[in-house]
Amino acid sequence: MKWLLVLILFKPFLTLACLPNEIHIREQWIDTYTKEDGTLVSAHKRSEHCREIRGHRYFQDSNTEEIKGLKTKFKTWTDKEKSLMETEIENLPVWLKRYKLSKILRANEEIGNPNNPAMTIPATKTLIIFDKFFRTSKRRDVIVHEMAHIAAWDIDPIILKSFFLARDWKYQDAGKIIPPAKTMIPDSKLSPSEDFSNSVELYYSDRQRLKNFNLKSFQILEEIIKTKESNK
Amino acid sequence: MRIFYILILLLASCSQITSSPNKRHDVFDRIITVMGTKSLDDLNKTFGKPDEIVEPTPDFKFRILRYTSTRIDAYIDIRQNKISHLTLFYFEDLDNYTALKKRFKNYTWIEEKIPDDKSGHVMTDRYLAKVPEIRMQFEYDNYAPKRKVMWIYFE
Repeated sequence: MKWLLVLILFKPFLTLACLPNEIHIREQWIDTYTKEDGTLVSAHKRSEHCREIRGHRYFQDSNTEEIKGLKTKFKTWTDKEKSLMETEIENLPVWLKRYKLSKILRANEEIGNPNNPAMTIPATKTLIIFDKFFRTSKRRDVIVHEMAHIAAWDIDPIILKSFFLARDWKYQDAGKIIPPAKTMIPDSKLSPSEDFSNSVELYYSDRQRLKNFNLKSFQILEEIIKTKESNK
Repeated sequence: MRIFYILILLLASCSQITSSPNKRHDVFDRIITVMGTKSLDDLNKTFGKPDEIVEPTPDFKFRILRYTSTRIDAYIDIRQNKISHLTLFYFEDLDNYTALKKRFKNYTWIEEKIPDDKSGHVMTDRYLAKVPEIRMQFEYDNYAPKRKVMWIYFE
């Protein structure tokens, strides 16, 4: 009886808030199929759910799923590259390290964007590492930035909204979003999530400058990070 | 003791019915009503006193009334003393796109592809969804977890 009570009380909080080691799977229609043992499974709708990412630091030499809009070729990881990546991931701040990656892909330079060292697909927790990554001395900043792109979607909405407002994101009429007039990194104006990731990167690489630049948004970001760090 | 547990179970069941993600933050009916008149009196009657007021500046002509718990920002046209537009920071913990599509299934739904910016460090596959009958629109990204929507815009 007690355990049933605990389960029922906490179920609403467990259902759809995926953990850092899970990915969200959308509601999908499953057609009728026959299992290997001959059991016929009738067509049904499978509700959206969270799926645990099995394995850890999952290096892949090729990619079977289409990544819409990405122009590059995937290639084989070398042992040295893998070891370097493992070191960088190991050195991540604790709260970012909790976000398990489902795939880490190695790719040539991205066509049209040769200066990009890495890229993330937050929905699938996929990290793509380009050649440029191994030529930069700021590898930790790059990985922190990419992981922040994943973490950005896992923050309490009221706190995240207050961060964006402190950064001065607002709406003009006709549905036009206006980025902050001043940013420390120019591409912060691209999107709120880019702005958030840049802020997290600067929090670990140039904290004092970030604080001096915008104290209010710094304090909110620090609250977000400290809350995430204290979560076990 | 058994009766106590049964009572708690009943209360918990009721709280789950009212606290499902859709219902808990479903302020859409109230927003649609307020945006029907765009009146500040209706805004005040429906959402109460704002938690923060941001005054217009030479660069930004609207007064912003911010409501923390409902995640609403009302942008006020100070010359007409009416609401110009309003935003809701949605960001629910479920597939946002599916939830919104179900919520507005009885309305006309239009979508258009937004060109993806190639200079960022994140893959995007963005679309603009519009529900013209209630002058509502929002952007969603197929590569964002749960297709979470940040701001829903009402005009």
